[in-house]
Amino acid sequence: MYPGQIMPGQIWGWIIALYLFLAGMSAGAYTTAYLSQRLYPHLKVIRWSGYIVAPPLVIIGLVTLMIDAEAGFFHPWRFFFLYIGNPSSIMAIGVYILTLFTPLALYRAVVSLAEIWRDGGEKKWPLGLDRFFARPPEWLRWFVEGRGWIDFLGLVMAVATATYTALLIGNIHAVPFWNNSILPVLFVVSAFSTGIAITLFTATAWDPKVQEHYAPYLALSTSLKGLELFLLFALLYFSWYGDQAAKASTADLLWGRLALPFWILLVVLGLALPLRYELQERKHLLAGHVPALAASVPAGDKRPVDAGSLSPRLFATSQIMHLFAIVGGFVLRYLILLAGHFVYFLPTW
Amino acid sequence: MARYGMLIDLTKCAGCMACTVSCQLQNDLPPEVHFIKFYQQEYGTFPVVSLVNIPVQCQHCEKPPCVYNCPTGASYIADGGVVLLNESKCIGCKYCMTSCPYNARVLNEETHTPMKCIFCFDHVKEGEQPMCVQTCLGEARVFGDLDDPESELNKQINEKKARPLRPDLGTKPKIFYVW
Repeated sequence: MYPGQIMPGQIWGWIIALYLFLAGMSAGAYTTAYLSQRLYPHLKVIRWSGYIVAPPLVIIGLVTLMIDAEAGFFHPWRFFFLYIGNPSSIMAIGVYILTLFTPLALYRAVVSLAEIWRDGGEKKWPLGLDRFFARPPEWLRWFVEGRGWIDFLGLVMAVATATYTALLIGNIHAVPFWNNSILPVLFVVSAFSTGIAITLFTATAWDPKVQEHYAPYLALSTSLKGLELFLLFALLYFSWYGDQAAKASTADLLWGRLALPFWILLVVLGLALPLRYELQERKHLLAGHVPALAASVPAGDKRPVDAGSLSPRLFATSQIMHLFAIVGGFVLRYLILLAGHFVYFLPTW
Repeated sequence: MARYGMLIDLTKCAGCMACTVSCQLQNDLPPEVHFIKFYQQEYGTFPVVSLVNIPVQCQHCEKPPCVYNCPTGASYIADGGVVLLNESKCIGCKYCMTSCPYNARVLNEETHTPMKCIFCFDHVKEGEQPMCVQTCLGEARVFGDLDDPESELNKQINEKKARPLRPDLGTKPKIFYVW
């Protein structure tokens, strides 16, 4: 960075970080729900949680994005050019992807609502939804019954969404810290792990009993968090031995101006602590204990426990860990945006 | 159509910033907004050291990342290879600003769209020189057609072995520097 020069993080600030995070987490939640639907169809609450949180997340992200693009916010018709202006721009491709993913996620949320309504004994619902679910018009039956291939299309678009959020900043050659092949993998892994975290958080809040079945989810979640730590290390390693500007980014994160949030908010609170807690929780689940009760059960006591009588304090711990992991996903993106340095372009002698 | 380019001879530049100021007047810019930014670089080993002033503006790249990344097609390559912005299509996503390795774009706080050097396109069309070239007291700037082998620009580029900044980035900038 030269004196007086603007940083990439000043051009794209926390709003863009929030958008990248929300779009990724939404895609992750959809993916979690989809896997849950295919692998564990009996765990309905987890599936519904993922499918229902996915659309609002991506919609909130899109709204913040439009607010940040002020010229478009004040002249909304200009957003139309996103579709026809320059189809080879990765941002335009992202708009195409989101144009498909958002309605697909919304569709699956409606199907989930219909499932919840049927599962709950077909009670009366506001807005006449119960009548719609009971007797949908012939041409809207698929909207209530659900179609497997549409769900799968949604999964493809979810993966595309998570990938595109990384490619968006990854194809900026001007910022070497972003322009590398580790970043997309890191973003996709982080999107998936925050997606699992928000799904489990919602499912636990909805029905604490489903925590009994978290073992496979925690296995996936802990693997992803471990991988995330490794990818973060690899990103910093290659940046340090790469371009001069990328080296400056690494220094900023490891011991420079961003070191405090990097180590405390991202590495410790966002990744390591939830990882450790989830490993412990998974171990207790596999041993036949419910996680939150495990700590209060004397060592060596292997009696099965009733998940309904969770201690509120320990129940809160697992929820807080999910929240930490979610916030960590945002901090990861924000720090990567802030740590970007433009290439050094002045002549050298 | 011509392929406009420029040469900036850093050995002749005194760092007076007259180009910056004339550019601001030409484009009606507020005092804090510059299309031509001045950077300084030290070189040599002690005790034989020196400081060089380096004016940097839009390099009007032949493969401009700002144009390739622009999602709405608002940034485009106009006649003569000049990179321009069509404000009526711009949504203000600032992708071009992060894409530009030369940091050439600044945000217009009123319209929320980016602005940058346009090679004084209206003047150039009428056969005049860009404002920064007209103003330069040390005659450090030469403007011309890169496709015309007889142009003063091409002669000086060859004579002085002028090079673009960071050609390795692959953007093919059309401003050549002598250092």
